[in-house]
Amino acid sequence: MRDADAMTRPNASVVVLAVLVFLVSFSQDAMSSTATERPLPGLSVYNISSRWTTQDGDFVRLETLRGRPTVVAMIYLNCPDVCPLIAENMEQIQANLPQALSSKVNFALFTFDSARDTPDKLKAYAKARGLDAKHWTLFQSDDRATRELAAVLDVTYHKKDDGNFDHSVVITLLDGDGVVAYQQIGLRTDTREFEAKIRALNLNNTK
Amino acid sequence: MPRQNKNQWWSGRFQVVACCLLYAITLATAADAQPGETSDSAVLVPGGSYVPAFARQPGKPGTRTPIRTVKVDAFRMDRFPVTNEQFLRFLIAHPEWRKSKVKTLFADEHYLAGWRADLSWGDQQTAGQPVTNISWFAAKAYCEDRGAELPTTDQWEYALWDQGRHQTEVKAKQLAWFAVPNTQNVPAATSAPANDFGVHGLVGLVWEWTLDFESTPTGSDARNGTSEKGLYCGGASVGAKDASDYGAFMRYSFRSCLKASFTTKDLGFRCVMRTP
Repeated sequence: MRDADAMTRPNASVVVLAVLVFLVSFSQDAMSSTATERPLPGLSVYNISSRWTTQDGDFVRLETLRGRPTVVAMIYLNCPDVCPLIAENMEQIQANLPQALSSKVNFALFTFDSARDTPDKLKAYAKARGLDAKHWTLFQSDDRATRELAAVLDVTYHKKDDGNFDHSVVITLLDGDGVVAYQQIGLRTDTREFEAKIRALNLNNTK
Repeated sequence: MPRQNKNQWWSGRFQVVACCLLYAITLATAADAQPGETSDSAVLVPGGSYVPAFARQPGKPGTRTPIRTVKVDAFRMDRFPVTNEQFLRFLIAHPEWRKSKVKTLFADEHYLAGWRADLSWGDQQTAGQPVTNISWFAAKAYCEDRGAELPTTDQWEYALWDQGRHQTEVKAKQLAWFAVPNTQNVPAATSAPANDFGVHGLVGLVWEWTLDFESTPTGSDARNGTSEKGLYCGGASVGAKDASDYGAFMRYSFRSCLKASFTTKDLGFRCVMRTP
């Protein structure tokens, strides 16, 4: 009898737990429709208060990206070799996503070069690369904001005497709330892993 | 009996008042000598140039990367690392940086770990100790609030370089400090002697944040798409040009292992200001 009791008790608690998990997941579903009204998670990159200028001259906080997952990288326009490849890698990620998914993902490029990469130049760059304005945003800010963003994205960079930059190559996937979901270090022609990470965010409720 | 009690009461009162007065006088006179936000809390570090430790290559000039000289403009630097007392004043004015309020993006779970509460440091700590368990974000916010900045790694190393003066002692002191177990309490900020620039305790008190802690310039182009972290973090000495300056190597190594939200018991900071 005692043994039987010991057996049934954990079972009962498992059932209670399952019900709880079900309720919690249900309430989260209900909440996701009001995503922008919830306070940002503590780990959200969008907690940064700095303001950035987009290629269209809008002066915004990073929170403007909230709501959809965003693929993020830092580059600069004068960059002779690796930066175009970073943008290209992101374009590949976008191109390889199924249509239903790619329409739900933002892409954002942030420049290291706050002095030279003006919004006009960023706009010309986006145009020259054929980045679709509906999903791509390019951002410029001051040195302080740039250093802070690099810090939260774990990007290392160093301005050289000639005005160019040594920097690490990191492509970051932020979830809809701006929390880092995945980071790809270096470039990869195979974008399947990145796609899997985007799928894992479960974008069924994302508009 | 009641009379005696009254006398005792008065003498007690007097003692309290006297103590308060004494304390006030001590505070007033100490204001000059203690680190604070007064104009003489920082010293002018004249501009010049130095060769960063990672770019020094004794005995083999020109055989590999050319020795890289870095030019540093004049700046003002805090004489001492920022203390618990100074940081408390910042926290009073900026609730978002208190340990109960700080965002996890900006500080890990050990932020102000020794503090008893949001606005009081721990029993084992003192007002004059360098504040530690501070993240880069918090340090940066503190400096910016004062209209100052965190020093760049070049500014910090240049201040320690001290135009080449007493470098043997500096290296020895750095090594001696490495030998001190970090379970030991951090000494008071003012306890460390000044170098010839007038900057106290760059080594021997705490590690210090720099603005660009994460960049470990190698002199070469890091364009192969890999992070430079591996060069120093973890102790590989491949990138260090002067193996004899173990202390400098450790500093670069330590910094490159950091993340901006990290906090540790022996990592503090100080600020710099532009010269007018």
